[in-house]
Amino acid sequence: MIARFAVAVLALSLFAPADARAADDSFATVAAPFFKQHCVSCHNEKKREGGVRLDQVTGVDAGNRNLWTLVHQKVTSGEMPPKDSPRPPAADTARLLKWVAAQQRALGVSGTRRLNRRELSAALRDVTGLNVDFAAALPGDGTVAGFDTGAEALQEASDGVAQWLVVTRRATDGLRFLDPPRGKTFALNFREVRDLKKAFDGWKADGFSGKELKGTLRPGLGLLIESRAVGDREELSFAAPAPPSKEGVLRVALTVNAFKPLPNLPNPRLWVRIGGKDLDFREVTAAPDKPTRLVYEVQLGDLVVQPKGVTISLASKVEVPYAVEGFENEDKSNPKDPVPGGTGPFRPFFDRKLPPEKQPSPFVVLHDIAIEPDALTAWPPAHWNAKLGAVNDDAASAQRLLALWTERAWRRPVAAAEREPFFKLYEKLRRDGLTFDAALRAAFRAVLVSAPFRYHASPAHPDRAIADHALASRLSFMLWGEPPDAELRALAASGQLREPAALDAQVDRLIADPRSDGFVRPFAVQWLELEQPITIAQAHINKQDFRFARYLKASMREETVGYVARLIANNRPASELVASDWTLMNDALARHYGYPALDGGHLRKVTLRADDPRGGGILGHAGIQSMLCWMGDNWVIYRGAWALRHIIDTPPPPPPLEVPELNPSEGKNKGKPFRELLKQHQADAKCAVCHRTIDPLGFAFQNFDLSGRWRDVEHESYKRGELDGRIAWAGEGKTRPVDAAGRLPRGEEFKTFAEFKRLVAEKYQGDLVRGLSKNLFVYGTGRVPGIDDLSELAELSAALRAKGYPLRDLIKGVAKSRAFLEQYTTEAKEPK
Amino acid sequence: MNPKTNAVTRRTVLRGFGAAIALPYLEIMGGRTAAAESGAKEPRRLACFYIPGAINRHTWFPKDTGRDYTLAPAHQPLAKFRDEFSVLTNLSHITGRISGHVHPYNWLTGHNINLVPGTITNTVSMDQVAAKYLGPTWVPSLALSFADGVGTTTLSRNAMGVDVPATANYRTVFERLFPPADKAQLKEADARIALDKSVLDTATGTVKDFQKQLGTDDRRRLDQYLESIREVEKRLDDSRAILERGRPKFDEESVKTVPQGKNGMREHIELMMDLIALAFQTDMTRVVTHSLGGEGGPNYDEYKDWAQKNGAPVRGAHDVHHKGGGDAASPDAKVLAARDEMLVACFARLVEKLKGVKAADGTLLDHTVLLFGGAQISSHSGKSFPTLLAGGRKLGFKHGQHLKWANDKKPMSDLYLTILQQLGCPVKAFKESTGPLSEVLA
Repeated sequence: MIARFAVAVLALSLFAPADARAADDSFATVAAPFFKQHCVSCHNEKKREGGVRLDQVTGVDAGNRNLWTLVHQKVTSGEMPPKDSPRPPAADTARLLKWVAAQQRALGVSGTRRLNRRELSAALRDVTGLNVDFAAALPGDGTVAGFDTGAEALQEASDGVAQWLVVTRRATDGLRFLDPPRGKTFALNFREVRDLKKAFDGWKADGFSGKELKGTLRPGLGLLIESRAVGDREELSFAAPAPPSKEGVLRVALTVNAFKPLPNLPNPRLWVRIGGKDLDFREVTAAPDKPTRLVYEVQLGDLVVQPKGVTISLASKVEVPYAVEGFENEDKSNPKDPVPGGTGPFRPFFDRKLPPEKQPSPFVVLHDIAIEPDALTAWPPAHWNAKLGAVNDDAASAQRLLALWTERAWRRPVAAAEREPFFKLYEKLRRDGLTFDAALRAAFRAVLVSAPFRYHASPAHPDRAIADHALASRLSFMLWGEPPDAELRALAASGQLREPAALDAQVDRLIADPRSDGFVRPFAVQWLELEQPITIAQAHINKQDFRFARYLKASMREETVGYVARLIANNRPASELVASDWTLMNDALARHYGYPALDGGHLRKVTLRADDPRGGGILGHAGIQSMLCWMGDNWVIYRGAWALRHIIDTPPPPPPLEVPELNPSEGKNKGKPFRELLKQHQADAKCAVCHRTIDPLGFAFQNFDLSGRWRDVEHESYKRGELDGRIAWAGEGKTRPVDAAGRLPRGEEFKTFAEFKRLVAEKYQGDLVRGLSKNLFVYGTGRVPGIDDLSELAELSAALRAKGYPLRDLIKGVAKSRAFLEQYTTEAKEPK
Repeated sequence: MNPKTNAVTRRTVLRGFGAAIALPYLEIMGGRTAAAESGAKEPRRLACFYIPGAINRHTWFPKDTGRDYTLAPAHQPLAKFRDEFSVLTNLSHITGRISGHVHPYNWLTGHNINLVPGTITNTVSMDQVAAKYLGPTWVPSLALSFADGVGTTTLSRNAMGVDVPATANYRTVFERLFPPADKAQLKEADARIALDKSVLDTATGTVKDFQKQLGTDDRRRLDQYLESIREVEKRLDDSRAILERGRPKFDEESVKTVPQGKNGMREHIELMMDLIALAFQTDMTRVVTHSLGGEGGPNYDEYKDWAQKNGAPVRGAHDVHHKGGGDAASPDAKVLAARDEMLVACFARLVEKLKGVKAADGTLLDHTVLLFGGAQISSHSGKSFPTLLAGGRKLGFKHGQHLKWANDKKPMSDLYLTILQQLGCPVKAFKESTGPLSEVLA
């Protein structure tokens, strides 16, 4: 089955180069003379301006595709050759650009790529039905332009493949078909247990170990686990027996609710640690009559398994970074500290003399627990409602199971002939004496090692069915981070997925689904480099830093991720990324920003005060401004370079060789305003190339202190120190008013952060959208946009200009682009 | 088998938790290599250690050259092994010169990785060429680091230029190093290998079918997968053969795999180096790379101590590299000098350990080439790699000298070629090599 568009793609790759050849244009006649005359005097072995060498280039090939895109962009924009050198004749430039574009087009695109670590794990979860984090045992991936979806970086090495063999073995070893359930489930319903010790002794007889089950038993209520401060060790901990192989799936199911004896108490957090691995740390808010059910499945191979077994620990912690009125609070020792809210964070206090109902501290209540130390899960999962008929120890049953597995694993229909090798493996292993289950598990594993599982097919695959299903996968892995669901597959099967209206509807549907967190989170984190450590420098919380810095930092990151998620979900205009009147806050952030207290850890929309100088938008998010300070005290540079790269798409080139150091806290530099030092720095011609653009932009953020909060005065120098084992910067010496005046790359001057944001929203919206669309493109297609792709992205952005570039529409535009669909019909030539 | 060695029991490393006081390695296997025990020919080995960021060039480079050179302050910890190592100055990648935080990509490959946004291409690293010829061993090669990962975390690139993932976990390393001990487990491991092979065999056919329908670039990607599968198959065959020899016998409880501190640079490196010595002595692997730190961290505890001792501001690793590579008098430079000296002390400790193990002839050190160096003398400089070379006397190396070539002229690849050839690898060139360095050979 070969679709029309596929013929066109083929035609393109066969006939487009003929076009270039016919005109007798070649590297030697077009590019080489141009380079020689205008480029290589700077881009040679010695000078390597901007990290680019053009003296060794001999043509357009797959390896230097992106270099040519850069050349095309810079020459098109007129940025190169530089302003002060002779302009090439317009005809020469036009000829070069046309030739480069044609040559690059002739290379075709490469749409097949390996699933990355996240995707492999999600796809394994999907096909096995096990909710295990398979990524834990897989090696990390390289990135392309910062994204883990980049095809070029998703390479194969024997170590990764060897590890894949292990991971797939563990995954399939957790499944059963005809085998009976293995091992035992150990369950306790604490609402009915009368004697805790007796109940636990019963488990001990079966290989469990540990002192006691800590907590207070309340019939009808459950096991009350006392809350503790984060640093305290108290926990309910015991060891479950492990199989001798130290492999297999351990399943732990819990039902919990929050119990707050007195009003106004903060919510407790349940901390789950298994085999040395922190699995969960979640706020529990559920009421006793609507408890939360939690199920954890882990591979023993990823954990520390001791001779006595696997340690399972449950604790109830309170991590609120502020004081709670009327309750025990920490550190009243220094009344001079300007602690917001008074006296230091809430400290859970347990009074042995009082019954739980009167404790001034919250509890996590455990209704029941069920532990399966060596769980085998029946496959296929019951909720698939697979119509398999009776499964017996025969070839037909094996065939049916294998068909179901392969279609799910390969994310497309699979012909019987394609399944044949796997069935043969099954048959061979049966002849070798393996059981039905063992042989089928091995066959299943071979399906996972085969290319259609491990690789995304190209949406331009010559087989239309494969191509359409590849498109369904491309959409769902982009917008959910997991394999397509039944609806997407049905659309792909019907051949209607490529229709623009269908694509629009699917983008809307996928983004509206909670699973879109699997898109927004990795996308925003990688686009904005949110994985950098957040610096906290708060004199006022001093010793308490370690008590809640982790929670505050996590909240700071969530603010940005959640903000971007809402913009996309609500199809808000792109300018809202940098300018709005709202943000997201929870209890910790409200304190951090000095807003009225909020209850609980979930983020909610807060309208900003009209006089809040930060205003809305990600540039004023504390997490962003704080994370750009971790590397050193030249944060004007880091912040400026970050904004150039990620906000206005004008990335500075890599730093040149032999850069002299700028050390603001030393010698004669000490005490000088950073502005003055950077002027000195810019006096060096080597540095000036980039710093003329980076530094004036970086000053826009001077009003943000190192923990990302607004300040009106700054210190003359900052000292890096450590606070409870974390990086902290302390201001030293005299203070001076913050001077946030600076300049944008095209020369617009600003005096304040607010002016800067206004300028970006008004005059750099196009740049912002160009950058964002390129990032969406790389994330979605796995490749860096080429010359044609860039012009298509520009077209689709331009079409959205009138509406202010709504973000979900932008994603729809990318999803419908020829480049995303790999449907290059328009440039194709008719074969003669 | 030395009668003093503890009787073999199946003991997991976990039982060593808590009571982890390392016995002197001399006592493991009676202080002999596996070859010395069995009377086989001593195999050849290679370990490469990368110094992250910059070094303090004022204390690193000796003032004079030749055999009677004055030991540089940074190399003082090696004073008693003066005749076991050489200082090599001014080697660098000539066409492969790069800048910034990407040096770990090409320190061992010499490839000028493409800095055009979006693509990093690379070629095989020197250690992986060695690994191809020095095996087979239970573990073909070990890539160790300050963190688990690929990219700048690892130093090793395979034959296709693809990153070989590195590990920073002692327990993972230890468990990977040895085949299982008891009979039932050996049998199980053997069955598992056989099954793995059938699975791979079945999958290979389908990969080829899949590949047939693709364009050139895509086909190249699948080639990588096929090549990797082939390598794994070969590795499985090798493992099966080695499995028959069983687990080497030594007191496993004496091996320390739990650090005392949480964030100590020295302790991390020493634990890893002990595992390297153990791996070489038991002949479980013959090739190791070890990245001693990242360009931008981890910010180990020692940085704070050094800053306090030298009256310098407390900085993270990234800033120490940047600010310590400059003016000799600055307190930051002293911090970097302290780090250099600590790294050299760790290296000296490894030299001492390997020298203390008896080989089939001479010592383990005589059959091991140790390369210890970095790629920047100050931050963002790709000139004159700081390089120490030790060991390998029985492989033809001579030591006790400071060799200095003209600036920017002599390719590091010449040294890599020399090392590979002395290790017995049948290679005529490596990257931009012009020929072996006769100066380092006896």
